[in-house]
Parts: sequence; C-alpha cells; structure tokens
Amino acid sequence: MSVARIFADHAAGSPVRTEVAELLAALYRDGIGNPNGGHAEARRARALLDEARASIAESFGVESRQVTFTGSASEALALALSGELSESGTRRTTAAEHRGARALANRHQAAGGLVELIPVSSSGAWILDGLSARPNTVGLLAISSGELGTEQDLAALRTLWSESDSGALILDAVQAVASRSLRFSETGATHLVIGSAKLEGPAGIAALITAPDRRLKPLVPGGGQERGRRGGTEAVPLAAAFAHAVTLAAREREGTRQHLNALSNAFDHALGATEAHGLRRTGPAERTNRLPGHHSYAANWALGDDLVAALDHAGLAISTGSACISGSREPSEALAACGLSDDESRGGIRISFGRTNSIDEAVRAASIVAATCARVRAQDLTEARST
Amino acid sequence: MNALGLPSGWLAEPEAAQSERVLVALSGGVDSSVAAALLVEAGHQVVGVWMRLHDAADRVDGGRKSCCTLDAADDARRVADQLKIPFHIQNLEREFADAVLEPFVGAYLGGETPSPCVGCNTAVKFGALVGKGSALFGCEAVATGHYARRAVSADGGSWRLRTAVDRDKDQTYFLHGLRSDAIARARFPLGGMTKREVREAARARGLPTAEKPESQEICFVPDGDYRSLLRTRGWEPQRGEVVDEMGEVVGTHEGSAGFTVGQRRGLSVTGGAPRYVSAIDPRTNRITIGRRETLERREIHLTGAATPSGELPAGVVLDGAARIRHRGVTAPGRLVSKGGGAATLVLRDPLWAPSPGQTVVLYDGETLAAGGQISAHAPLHA
Repeated sequence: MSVARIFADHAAGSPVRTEVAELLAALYRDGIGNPNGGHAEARRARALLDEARASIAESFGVESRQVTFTGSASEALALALSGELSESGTRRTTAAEHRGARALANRHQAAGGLVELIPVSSSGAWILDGLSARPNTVGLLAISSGELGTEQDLAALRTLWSESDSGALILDAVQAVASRSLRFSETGATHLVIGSAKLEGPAGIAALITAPDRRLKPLVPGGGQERGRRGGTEAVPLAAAFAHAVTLAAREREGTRQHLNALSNAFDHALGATEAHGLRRTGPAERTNRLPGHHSYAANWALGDDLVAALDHAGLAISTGSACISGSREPSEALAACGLSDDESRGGIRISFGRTNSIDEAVRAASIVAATCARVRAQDLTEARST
Repeated sequence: MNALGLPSGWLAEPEAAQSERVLVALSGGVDSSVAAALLVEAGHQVVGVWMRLHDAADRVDGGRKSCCTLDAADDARRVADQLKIPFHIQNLEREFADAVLEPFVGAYLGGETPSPCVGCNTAVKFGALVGKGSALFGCEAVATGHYARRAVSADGGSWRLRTAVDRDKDQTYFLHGLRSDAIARARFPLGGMTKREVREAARARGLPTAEKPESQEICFVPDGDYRSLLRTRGWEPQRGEVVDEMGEVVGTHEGSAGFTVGQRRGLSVTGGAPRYVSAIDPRTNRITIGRRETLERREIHLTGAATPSGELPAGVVLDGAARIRHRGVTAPGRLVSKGGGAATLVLRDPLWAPSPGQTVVLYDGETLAAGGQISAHAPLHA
C-alpha cells in the first residue's frame, strides 16, 4: 500500500493553486500574448497587464507606476541595486540573507565596495543596537528569513534608515507577504521585492515596488517595456496570475495564518522534544516571531542533504532551506551566522507547511521525521568508511 | 575446478529470489545506466545515487569525459527520470578525501604509484555508500556498473569476486579490497555481459547515455596530469639524479614524484638501449633506471595481503594466477603469507615492472582469492 506523499517545502515555492492555474490556462488558451502592438489583440493583453499591475499596486498601497514586473525575485533585487549602488557606497546586509542577496553583496565587495554585515542573534534576528545611520548606504535585507523563519522587527530598522540622508532600503518581502499584510509606506523601504511562487502563484514572475523618487537602471536594455526599466516582452498571463494569487492570499491571509499556526502546533506536539531526535531547533523559539508553518532544525550527525533525501524516500518533501549547489557540503552561512557549529551548519533542514496541508499531514510529517532520524542515527554514517 | 571455472566448494551467485531494495551508483555513464535499467526490469526497488566526491565537479567543463562533473550528474538524473526511480546526489567528499585523495598524494610523494580506484571501491562505493544507502533509504545492497561477478561458498557463508564474462572489461582487479560481507551486499548486473551487449542494451532502451564515450582518466585529475594535482598539494619538484643499476649518475630528473616504476617517458637519458625506471627513492630524490630485462621480477613483496575473509595469517600458502596490473597478463604463482599483511609472491614466470603501491591479485580459477599492495621492500620477518 502506498501512502500519499506530503509536500512540506512551501517556503521554496508552493504548488500553483487551482484558481490561479485555471486563470493561467484560460489566458494561454485565449491566445494572450505580446501587449506591445497596434492591434486589438495587443490592446487586450495590455489591458490585462495594466489590471494586474494596478491590482498589485493596490495590495501594497502604491501607484501602478511604482510596480515593475521582473522574471524572478533575484532579478528584482539586482534591479533595485542597479539604480542605487555606487562603488563608493556601503552595503548593509546580514550573513543570514538569501543566497541571491549574498551573491550581490559579494559582487559589490569584489568591485571594491564596502559591505557591512549587520549581526544577527542566535535566532537570526537583526541586532541593530550600536548601528548608526550613515549616508550613502544601501540596506539589502529580508523581512522574513526563508531559511530560519525569522520575522524581523521592521520598526527598528525603519527608524535607523529614516535617520540616514541618502540611503536606500531594499527589502525582500518574498517570504513575508504570504502571512503578513504589508503597506509599502509602512515598511520604510525604498524598494520592496515580492514574488509569486511563495503565494501559490506561478514561478517566473516577481515584482519590484519602488518609491516614486527612485530611478532604476535597467539590467536588460531593450524596447522600452516596463517604462524602460526592463527590456523584453512582458509575460502577461504570468503577471495576471501573479496578481490573482496576491489578491487571493490577501483575502485569506488571516485564515491561512491561523491554519498554519494550527499545523505548526500539531507538528510540534506530535514531534515532542526535538533533542530526543538529535535535532536542534534553529531560528526563533517563539512561534510569534517566526513565519507561520515554518520549522527549521540542525543535526550534527548528518548532512542536511542526506536528511532531505532520507525524508524524501520516506514520503516527506522538505529542503535544507539554503539553496546550495546540489550535493555540496558547504555549511549554511545563515546557520553559521547564528553561531552554530560547522557540523550543525551542514546539517540544516527546513519543514514549511502551506495552506493546502492538513492537520493529519502535519502529524504524519512529525512521525516521519522522528522515525527517519531514529533510523539514520542508528547507523553511524562515518562507521562504514572503514569497511 | 568445475566447468564454470569455479574452485571446488564455490558456486555461481544465485539469482535474487525476490525483490530487493538496491541503491545503484549512477555515474552518468552507459554502464551504470544499464545496470540500473536491468535491476528495475528485474523487479527490484531501485534508488539512483550520484556521488559527489570532490570539487573537480564544479571546476571541470562538461566537454570532458570524467564521471564526476555536474554534466555527468545531469546525465545520471536523466537516466533515473527515464527509469522512473528516485534520484539523489550524495556527498561523499570527506570519505573520498580520507580514503582516496590523501593516500593518492601520499603514495606519489612516497615514491609509490597509487591505485585510487581500489580505495574508492573499497571505502567509498562499497563502504560509506553502503552505509548511507542502508541508513537513508533502507537499501540492503549497492549496485554499480562494474564488470564483475560474484561467487558464493557452498554453505552460503562466504563470498568472493568472480571475473566478468567480458575478459577485456573485467574489473575485479580494482575491486579486490572488497571483503566477503561487502561482496554479499554488492550487485554487478553487467558481470554476465560484454561491453558490446551493454551498449546495445542501452540503445535498445533509448538511454540518454547510450553513446557516451568511456572515461579512462582518474576522475579527480580531469586534465590527466596528476603532477599538477601534487603541486596544488604542496609538492615542490626538486631536480634529482638519475642513476643506472651500478649507481652511476647518468642524468637528471625534475622531481621523483613524477615517475612510476616501468616508466620510460620523461627520462633525459640518451643513447643505448631503451631504459626504464626500476626504482624510486623519495628520500634521496634519486631514480634508478635499467634495461627492460632488469625489471623482470620472480618475487614480489606485498603489504596489506588479504583474502575476502580478511588479513592472511602467517604461514598460509595460496597458489593461483597472479596479476599486477589491470588487464595485465596473469602468471602462475604462490603467495606465502608472513602475517600482519606482509606476504611474498613467488612467480613461476617473471612479471615485468611491479610498481610499489600498485595492486596484486591472485585468482583461484575465476574467483579472486587474495590481493595486496606491491611493496618496495622485503618483509622484515622474511
């Protein structure tokens, strides 16, 4: 008898929800294509694109012209930086950022720029005490950590940045928007990045929201699309589906949050003490400070990739949470920044539930984690070396 | 010896009576692809794994033939997709470094010529990977695309390697370090096939790896030059003397770790009959050369001499056919154990240029009865 698999890797991207998939399919079937043209078909596509942009703008309390569609959140981050960062500028970021953001920081540093790492606590929370405002500084930070589940204190950050004269604050809200209502003006950001895939929308589309006074330097020059900010034909069906996913997520946000908290409680209760399974909880201990439905752990007796593979084999789809080269044994920089040992930083896993998971799945997921940890720990993986 | 070429008391391996859970090490090449396909078709529950063994995976471009590039991992994944089996990348870099890479570098620096594939098969593929397969996926066996077969004792309690049907492809030489319990858990689906049949099987199934060329080089030395690897590990070549067997200086060399016993290329010695490296002394950085006939040996000293049951006790005498290099000729010989892994192989006809560090195996009929490592020195307790 085969037992149904459980998908608990929503922080990496949720499956597209049915309503969105149906809209997407309908738009493709209807032949919605290039919105740039002098004919009725193009005008129809243009109207859909405008509608999608307006809908997203409304969700975040901005004007349509402040919204630029991109192909991914990573691209949106790079686009935001392109207009803001001079080589002489300082970049403030943390070592616990998403890999894409870290890569951009490394590039800035390699080009001779200064990168200042904001320290993080053992739970991955920003430590802003002692940081003073400074001009010409660009902050590149995630509101919620996909790897650790940490929900950051935006108010303190906003205060710090508002004291600085000409700095930019680029916030990655990709993980945060699934469970948190965000108005652009309240975030204090000059640039806000949102993505579709974590909202049960399609991958391949994201958006950058910018303050009206900010200019973007296109990464891809071209035919003047997206008000000259991004060359290339707009993906109209994806934009429409993205907007629809944002609307649905916003409409159901409170209910989803409660459901995810219920899933987390059920999972925690069924799993019991994490130490009994040889796992150390990473990220915030208090559920109120972490993304709902998000659980992360580190083991010092196995590689995170190995645990992911073993759990996959047992029917539970999760991830390490740090997008790495497949099979690499590089420690997670985020876990290391939280003070974990080298072995633990290689042994991180993340379980992230989504709206479509059931309580029964959360309970079963816990028993799969417990049984798999017991089985893997029973066999010292280093022992076989001397065979 | 029976009609199958098996010594008395040994039987050909039985067909698996029931479905097993088998981990198959997919390299991204044609052999392991077909091995996986055959296991799936035989009704086994197969889990595909590609091993990440070293960081050459990230550095090497895909045009090369190595089994250890990310392109090879992609090929392995495509095969797994086609066969509808789960696929995982397993990191065994640490185990590989301990069992293969470090000894490889150490051997060259110590004047020996290592056999990295032996260490990889023994400690990584049929060592650590077996442990991982069991712990992570509940697999009771590990399969590879090696050309080898297995033989089991009549009482079912002991296992030996048996040469493959395709004598040109037989890889038992590189697998000699496997002990009986490891052989019991090993599966070699290609042991009864020729390479030609394997290619045809791949084509017939439309496997994406069907036309991939053979990989010949050492996987972690993708540019084929192990000296450059040694340099990255701190080797600083020093010019040294080349002497003849009378001890007379006849030339110079650019670093003794760059030479192997039996090597002729790279010797800056001119005139006379061709001469070959006959000994390397890393302490004096001196290389001895001699005419071809001076490298013939009737007596070879071994370290690490063992049978699949374990290290040979002192006084054990084994007769068989000895081989000192992959695909090399075999010569009838007698292995006399001195205990502690030390042994002497006495040959009826001489073998040419046994290289310290390389592997010696002794066949009893088609089964591999014992193996060890060529030593530059006679055992202390001879």
